[in-house]
Amino acid sequence: MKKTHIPKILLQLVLISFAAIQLYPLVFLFFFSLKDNNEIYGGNVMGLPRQFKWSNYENALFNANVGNYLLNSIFVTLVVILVSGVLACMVSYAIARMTVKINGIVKIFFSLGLMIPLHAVLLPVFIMLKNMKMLDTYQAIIIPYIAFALPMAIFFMIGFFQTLPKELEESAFLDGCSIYRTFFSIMLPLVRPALATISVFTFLSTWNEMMFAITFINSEKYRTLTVGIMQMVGKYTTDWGTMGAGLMVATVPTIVIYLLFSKQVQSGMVSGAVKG
Amino acid sequence: MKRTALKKAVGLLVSTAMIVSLAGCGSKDSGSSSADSAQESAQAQAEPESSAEEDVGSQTEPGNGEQITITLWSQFSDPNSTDGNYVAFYNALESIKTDMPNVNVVHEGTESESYKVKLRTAMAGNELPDVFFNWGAGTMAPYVEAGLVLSMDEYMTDEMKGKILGGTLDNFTFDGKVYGYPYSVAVASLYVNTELFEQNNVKIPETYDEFLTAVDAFKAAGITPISLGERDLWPGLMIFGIHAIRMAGAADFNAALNGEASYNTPELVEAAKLVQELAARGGFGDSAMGTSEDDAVAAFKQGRAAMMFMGSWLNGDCEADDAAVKGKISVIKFPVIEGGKGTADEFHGGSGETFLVSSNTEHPAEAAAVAQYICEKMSKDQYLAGSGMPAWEADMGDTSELNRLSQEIADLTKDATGYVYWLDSLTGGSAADTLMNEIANLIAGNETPEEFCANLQTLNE
Amino acid sequence: MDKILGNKKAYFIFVFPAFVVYFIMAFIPIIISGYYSTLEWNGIGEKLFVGFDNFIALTKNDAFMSSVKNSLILAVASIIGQLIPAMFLAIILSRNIKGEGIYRTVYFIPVLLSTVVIGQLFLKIYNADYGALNAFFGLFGLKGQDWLGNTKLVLGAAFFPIIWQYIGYHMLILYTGIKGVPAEIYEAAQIDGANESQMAFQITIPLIKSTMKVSLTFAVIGSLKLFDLIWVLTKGGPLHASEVPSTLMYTTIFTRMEYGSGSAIAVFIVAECLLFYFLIEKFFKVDNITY
Repeated sequence: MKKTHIPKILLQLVLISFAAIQLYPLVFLFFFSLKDNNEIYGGNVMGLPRQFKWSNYENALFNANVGNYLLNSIFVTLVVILVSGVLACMVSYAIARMTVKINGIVKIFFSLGLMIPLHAVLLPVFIMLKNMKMLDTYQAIIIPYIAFALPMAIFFMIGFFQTLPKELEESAFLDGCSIYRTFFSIMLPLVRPALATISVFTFLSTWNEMMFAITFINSEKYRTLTVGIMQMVGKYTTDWGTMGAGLMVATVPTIVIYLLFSKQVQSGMVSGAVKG
Repeated sequence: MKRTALKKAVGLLVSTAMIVSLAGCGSKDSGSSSADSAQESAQAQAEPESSAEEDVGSQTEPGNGEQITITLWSQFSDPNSTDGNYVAFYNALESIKTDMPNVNVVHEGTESESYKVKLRTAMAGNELPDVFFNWGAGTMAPYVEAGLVLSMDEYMTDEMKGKILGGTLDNFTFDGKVYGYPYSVAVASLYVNTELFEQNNVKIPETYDEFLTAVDAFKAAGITPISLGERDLWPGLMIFGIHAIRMAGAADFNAALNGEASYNTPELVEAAKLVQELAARGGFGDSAMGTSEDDAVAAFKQGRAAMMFMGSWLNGDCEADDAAVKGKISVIKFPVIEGGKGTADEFHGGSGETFLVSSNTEHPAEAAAVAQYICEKMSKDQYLAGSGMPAWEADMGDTSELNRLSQEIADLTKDATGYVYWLDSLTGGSAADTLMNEIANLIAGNETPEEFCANLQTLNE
Repeated sequence: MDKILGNKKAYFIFVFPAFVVYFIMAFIPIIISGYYSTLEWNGIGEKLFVGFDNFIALTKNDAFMSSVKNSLILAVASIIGQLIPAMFLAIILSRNIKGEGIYRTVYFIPVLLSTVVIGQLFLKIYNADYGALNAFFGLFGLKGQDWLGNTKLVLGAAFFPIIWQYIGYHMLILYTGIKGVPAEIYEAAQIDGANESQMAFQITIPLIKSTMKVSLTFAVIGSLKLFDLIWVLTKGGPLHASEVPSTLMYTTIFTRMEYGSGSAIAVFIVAECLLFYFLIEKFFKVDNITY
């Protein structure tokens, strides 16, 4: 036992130094959010603000309609995570486990969505939304977000379903479970960690998305938080400190969500399930 | 304990899954059910718009007291901005409520980079708002060609014509028809940090030779001579622009830009050569290629650079309370170049931003009135806020509080004999992109002045 | 068993809802984009059918060719620079190490921050006048560089944060995969006297092959269609030195207003991604695992 001590301490040292590097951007953002443009542009770029400019937060929170934007972001993101997560699980289960001939084509069909550069489809999606009379509504962003979250979620979930042992379903089918029941009550609980991970990814891409939200939404009442904050960028002058405060406010929910979901991953598979 | 909580959570997920899948193939429904009211209101808005196409031309005069909604898009996205143009725009948006009570203006502001994307997508998708901010000249030409914007000729009264300053309509006029009202004349001048000039015993330049002497002196003193944010490409256009104006004269340079004359002239080659030499002797410091415009402005504002050739929107920054250079900046005419055809009274800049009216609008008269109101109101207010020169005659009232630099620019330009507008807006689209990249190549020393002019000439062929 | 798993009706029910959303909002738009790529069109005026002219013009476009080269460099660099550290971290964190939860959270922070923040951070690090990197060089009496303005340095400078930012992302993917391996297997191995590295190479890595494939595919495709951070840092400049296909596509469509040519770049990106997708599928075959 003794001889393993030194490598362990070394390992912890490596892990801690890497942690410091990874933590710094958040610290940077926090300092940034309390500075004025003079410090941000050269005066004092990386370090502690000379004077904590809390008024940046006041400007960011009370001047813009941040409360409303935040609610919109939460609503849109929740719907997207829920719907895309469930739909993706269904599709990826079918592709990973079922033995239907068109499986290969279906997988490629959905994977194609991973490869699309979003800027190129901005206009076509706009036209689709227009034809469905959905521009400038919540659906105008929710539905495209779901559509573009699906490929990644499906691709990821397929990989995960493939690692699950076949014996599980076999015994369920032998017990007379239908495929739907097997999916919902046996397979779905097993992929919970993967579902949590993909929810984090879907959350991040939805929460931070701007181009669709800016182009498909015109009314302020549907505006999302990230878009609201970016409107502080001026043509020739930008108050970056206030922007930083806004970005800080937008970042806190992402940390909370990550903490909640990644905990689900840590616990891993329900122990004993596999031997089932 | 923990496991049961997890099971509950999963159970919840699963039951939602059931609901979603039981709802059938209606993934679309699940999105909309939660936002039914939103959809209804949007449809209510969308319907009159869809019938708008048939109504084009047939002017709908509103009865008394009838409220009309005009949608308005702009790049003025931040109501709290201190930029003179933003301040003026939001003033106008406020006062229009009382001055045009029958019109309800619904404004949507989008940050300028995204604004172009949003506007161009809406345009391609035929979903333009009634009134929208846009640049003139080459940027606007394709819209006019495609019939997307309404001519203002019908709505422009003699009274308005009398108030609009001469030349300010040029960039909005196509085939003799005017499509937009001006709201400002933005002029570029040479901003000099007088304190740095005094400290280093450098004479504020009156000739191009003195200008080069100043550049060398600051370079030797370790101060960036001219602050340039070439990472954003357009600032380099302005440097070449003023050299071309001084060498070829505004009229000839405009002719080349409009495709009526060649870029392959000794004057323009010489202008390109001077720009390249200026870069090579360290005129823009060591790192202009990687510097953003934000950084370039900050460097000048903090007194780390001696000069900057920039548009009048810089006035506010120079005189801001947090500027280290407050009160120490002076604006001068860019020096005349010996042997060039241009004079000191020819300027880079002009009137080129406006509000256009979509030809699909249901209320053309009101939309035109809104565009005209905002432009005239902004003309005065943006001047008073220290941005560009006004484009409409107006009683400016008490100007004692006016930005000092704005007044200096007003004095400089009062005898202006010619203008060349910003090269990117003037040419627009792919030509502007080509120009910007060519000038970056020129500044980086990747091509000779002759090659540069020859490459520009391909735009005219 | 096979009968149940071959049930076409069940398959249809599982796939159809997602199919509808995806087909309308993603697949049709790709097809429309493909159609645009055969046009000469400025987005508002008349559409002129030009066949493959846009694609032929791309092959003669130096900026495009160098953008493709850059994206391939990035793909290779991402595989090395993201997946290896991510794998290392994922394996260590999954072994119930002290502070697992904290490390897992902290390592993911760069992914949580929006591109604007990471962009601002690195603009400040690289700034030639007051940047942290040049200040650090100055300590040793070395001359500072214009990191984002020098055509020779810009690629490395811009790619570094791009690769670094997503280490945490791949760590989470791989960590999830490892957590899916039943704990019993490790317990059995431990009883047999296997040490940590033996377990990593003989159990973990073989068992999470399918997750590694996911990570690899995301890293490669993500590199080939990268846009955000490079746009914030350099906009593809200076002089196209850090151009990638997506940035060029963006300028072509929205600045140059050449929808046809821009869509041709989009079609190229999709085709390039598909090619690598198939290569990965072919050389990284994963069979269903039975324990």
